[in-house]
Amino acid sequence: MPSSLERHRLGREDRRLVRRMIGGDEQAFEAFANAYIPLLYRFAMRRLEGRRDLARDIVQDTLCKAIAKLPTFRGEAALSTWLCAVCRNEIAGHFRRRYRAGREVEVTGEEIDAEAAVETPAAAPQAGLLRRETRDLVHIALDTLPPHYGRILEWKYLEELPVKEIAGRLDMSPKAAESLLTRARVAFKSVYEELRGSGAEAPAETRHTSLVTS
Amino acid sequence: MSDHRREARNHALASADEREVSSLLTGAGRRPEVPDTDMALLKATARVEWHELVESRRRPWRSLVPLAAAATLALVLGAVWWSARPGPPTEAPTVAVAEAVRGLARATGDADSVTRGAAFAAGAELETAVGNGASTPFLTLRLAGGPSLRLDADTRVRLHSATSLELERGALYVDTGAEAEGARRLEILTALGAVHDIGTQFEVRLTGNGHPQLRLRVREGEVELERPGATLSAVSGEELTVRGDGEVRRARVTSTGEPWRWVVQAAPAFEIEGRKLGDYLGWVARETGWSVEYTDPELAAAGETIVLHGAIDGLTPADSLELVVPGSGLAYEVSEGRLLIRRSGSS
Repeated sequence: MPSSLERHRLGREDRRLVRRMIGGDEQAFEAFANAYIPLLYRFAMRRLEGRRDLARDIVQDTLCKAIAKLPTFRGEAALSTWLCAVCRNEIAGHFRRRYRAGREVEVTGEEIDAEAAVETPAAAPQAGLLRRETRDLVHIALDTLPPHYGRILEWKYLEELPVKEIAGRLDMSPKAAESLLTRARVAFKSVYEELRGSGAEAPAETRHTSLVTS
Repeated sequence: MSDHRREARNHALASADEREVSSLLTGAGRRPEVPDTDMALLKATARVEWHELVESRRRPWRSLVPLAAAATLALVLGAVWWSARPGPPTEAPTVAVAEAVRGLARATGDADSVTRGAAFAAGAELETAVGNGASTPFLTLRLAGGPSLRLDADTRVRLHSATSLELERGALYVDTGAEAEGARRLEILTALGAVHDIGTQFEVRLTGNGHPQLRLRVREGEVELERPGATLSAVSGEELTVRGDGEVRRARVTSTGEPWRWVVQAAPAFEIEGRKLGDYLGWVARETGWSVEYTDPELAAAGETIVLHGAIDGLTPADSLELVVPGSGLAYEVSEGRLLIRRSGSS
């Protein structure tokens, strides 16, 4: 994970963004929506085994709850972590409501593993849960980083943009962009290693839920 | 270790790290993107919530009146300061999102046809193409705040806000929902009067270029038509026709069948995943106008205990019954506006 100084700086940026949003800053809203809606969507899709309609509904509910609670955001955790926690609660709530009563009827489609949906990758060994493919781990790591870290890494290594162009996009000097790139790389590697170390063991498994009553 | 060697070592490590990161990222490829329709819907939802948050933060001072003179003065000054702050977005807020579309539908100023998930701001003008018999165009919108709005073929409407629309020609169908929570009243302006709903399902149709005629059909609830010098109301099962010369006619209209056929076809999809059978049947009843009945009380309880999984996208409410009801171990029949649910194998 980023150093404590870096975390402090990132926390300050998150709090500033939230303050601007609460104050009605349109640019802040756009930055929030463009960065965090895709992050929440991918978070939900991974946990709901790609069930798009359900993921969309969960993210919709998450956004409503999270935005209403923005004034309570203190910046102790990263904004992405805070939002994902709200999303995880929504997913858990969905499964609680769904299994509160009765018989499960399959019209079309497949069951979703409810336990896997609410577990975090870091908890995977304890739950004996899932082996993540490298691709998934890389994407999770990118999503765990501050949004502009993920973006700058993709610009550099996937789009192969020169640093000068990256600097132009971010409206900063090439030196500052190079420095940001270094910080992003370090943070990514740190997060990736942590994820890989925690979730590599159990084979992938999809199972029907056992919460069926007659 | 000398500075030079330390620097060389750090450079080598950085290069190795960079190669590793590069390899991981290129191997993994881009992160999946959110489909455009979903992104539009989610962003519109977020924007509505954000507006409410910003507005709610601006309101508190109003609730503190009345107070002692000094405190009141301070509040007034504060309110002046507050209202002088830069407002929230200068960009017009999203007031509607497209949920379903068939055939050609356009927003004025856009060359492309409307697609599912498109968001519309206050002031947008929307238009559907003329039907050609083979396939009747329609456009289904979800207004911010919840009501469903459906545009029939050859219809033109302006969205003044999420609660005020102007029908220039054609027909609109409005469903404010079975459980309108102190719902804001919807207003539909036409050349022959302003229609106000009181929590309902209804259709407004404006026809006759040379001799305009407004027809109001109420499926559920009550609607008021405000005209110069008079306010007319129509309730469930009534049809009200007003001509340009002021003549008013009333008639009965059934809540099921042919008068609402285009409305049923334009119904937004109902997502059954994780929903109870009772909720699904409630949706079918609301869209078709049928009443749901069970052959015995135990079956009625089953509506609350059977949970559905899957999807019925692309199916009309009536067609979806073929899939859902037998899949739940039940059977059904439709007769004279009643949807009767019975046990499979019984008659």
